[in-house]
Amino acid sequence: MLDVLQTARTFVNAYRFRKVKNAVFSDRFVWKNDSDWKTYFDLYHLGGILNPDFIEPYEVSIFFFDAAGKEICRKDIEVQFGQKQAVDVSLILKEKHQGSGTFLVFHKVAHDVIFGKSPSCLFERGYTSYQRRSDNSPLRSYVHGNLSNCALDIRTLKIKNTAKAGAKNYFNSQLMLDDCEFFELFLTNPIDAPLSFTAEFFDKEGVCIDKLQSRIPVQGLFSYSSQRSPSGIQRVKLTANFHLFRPAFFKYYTSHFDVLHG
Amino acid sequence: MNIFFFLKTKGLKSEIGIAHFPPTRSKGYQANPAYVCAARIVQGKWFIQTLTFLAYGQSYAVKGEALNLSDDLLSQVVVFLSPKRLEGAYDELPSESAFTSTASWRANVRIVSPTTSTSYMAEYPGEMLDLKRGSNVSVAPFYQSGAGICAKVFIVNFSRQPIVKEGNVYIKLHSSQRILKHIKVMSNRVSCLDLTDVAVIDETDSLVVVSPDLAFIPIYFSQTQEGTHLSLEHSHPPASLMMYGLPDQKRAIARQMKSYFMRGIERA
Repeated sequence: MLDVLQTARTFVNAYRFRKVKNAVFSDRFVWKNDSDWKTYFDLYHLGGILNPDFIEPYEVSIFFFDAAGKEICRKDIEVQFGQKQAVDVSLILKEKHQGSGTFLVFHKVAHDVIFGKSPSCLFERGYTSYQRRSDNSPLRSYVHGNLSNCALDIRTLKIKNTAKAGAKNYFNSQLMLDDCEFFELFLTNPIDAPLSFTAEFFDKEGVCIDKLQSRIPVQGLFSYSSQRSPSGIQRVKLTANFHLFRPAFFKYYTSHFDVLHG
Repeated sequence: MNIFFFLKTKGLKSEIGIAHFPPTRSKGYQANPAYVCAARIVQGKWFIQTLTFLAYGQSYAVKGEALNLSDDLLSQVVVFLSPKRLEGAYDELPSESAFTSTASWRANVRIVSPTTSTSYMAEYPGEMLDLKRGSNVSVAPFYQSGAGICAKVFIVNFSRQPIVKEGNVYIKLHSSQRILKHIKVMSNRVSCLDLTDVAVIDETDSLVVVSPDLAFIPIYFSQTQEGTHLSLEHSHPPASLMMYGLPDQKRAIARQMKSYFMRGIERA
């Protein structure tokens, strides 16, 4: 029985992999760029991390989108084995693209160079950081990627979200939001269709004190800002036809801010 | 059952925000009574005390200072939800399935200064509590360097059994494989290691944190010296950098990767 299950799993995995064998994957990351905000991305030679025998430099392509989901620019960067680069996203976007949006980071290296015969693809899940000029601080605040599973075919350079809409589900954030002065939340769209959702905001008694419905375009970004203190909001619940519809939160305190996933 | 822990570092406070509701709709989930419990090892057993009852839908902040423990003892405390009130000495931490879900049940682990806070949604998974042996490699860590910045890494290791043993942690450079630091830590606690002096050694060669005999969760923390600006995040395990592939295929790749970073390090 176990042999049958193992064979079935191997077959299903091989079938799924055949569709994406020329792809590399990326989470969808959030950028903030204006006179106060800077965004960075820590870029590594991921191929050499997963396969230390692979030491050749290769190219990474970063695709940038505005909040409406339109591609606004693209940047190619060479990565060297063992090195870390803090890519200054604000230098790439400059004054031309201000506000917020999303970006994808693809390591353009064939899967068999990294994984040999194993049917796996490389996945950039990594680390975005933010800095606010008005903080007058050398420190950046980090957050990791958010499980968006976006694929780039390295032959055609076509992008495709591989996640699919599912049954209606909720994400009831276990993060308390009433310890900060105010907060922002950002939602990306993980599927290749506009995604409708409902956001409900609850106070500490569990009473819903605000509710909104919206729709995120493909490749787009939704943002929400609570009123300045006190908002009375303790937590948020998001409902959508997607299993793990998890936001990125920026929480603002007296001297600094925090960024994390809910 | 996931457990949660305090990240205690000098001059800053630590809190755990714990919620009594699952993060997503989970088939078959029923709301159980929940008691917030804290435990640490005393004289070879897990000593557990119940802090409070938590009604369904409510959240509770466990403040580290309220436990009246030294920084060293606070780093040995675990916090978890239990469907029963627990008090006294136990041979092992409970195995509870009452507060599990897909996605994982998390708590907000916070470091707090007088003017700001930093946190992440944390868990120490039940599966890690039952590891008999372990090792770990943490690559691509987001330490920060520069004037006025202190960079640290928390090494988080806990087990269901109340066993305390010594483990070895090495800080290396990625491509040169040069060992910069070798620190001995104890298991079943959160150890805080300073990276400030090594973060600037070679800016073209990134740091790697390795242990040949301890499985751990690495959490990277940076602060300004005054504590007015803080940053916290955990790094991904190697398997999460791969899409597709069966578990044993991913483990084989992770083993190959670990083998490279273990070069020059004696295994127990």
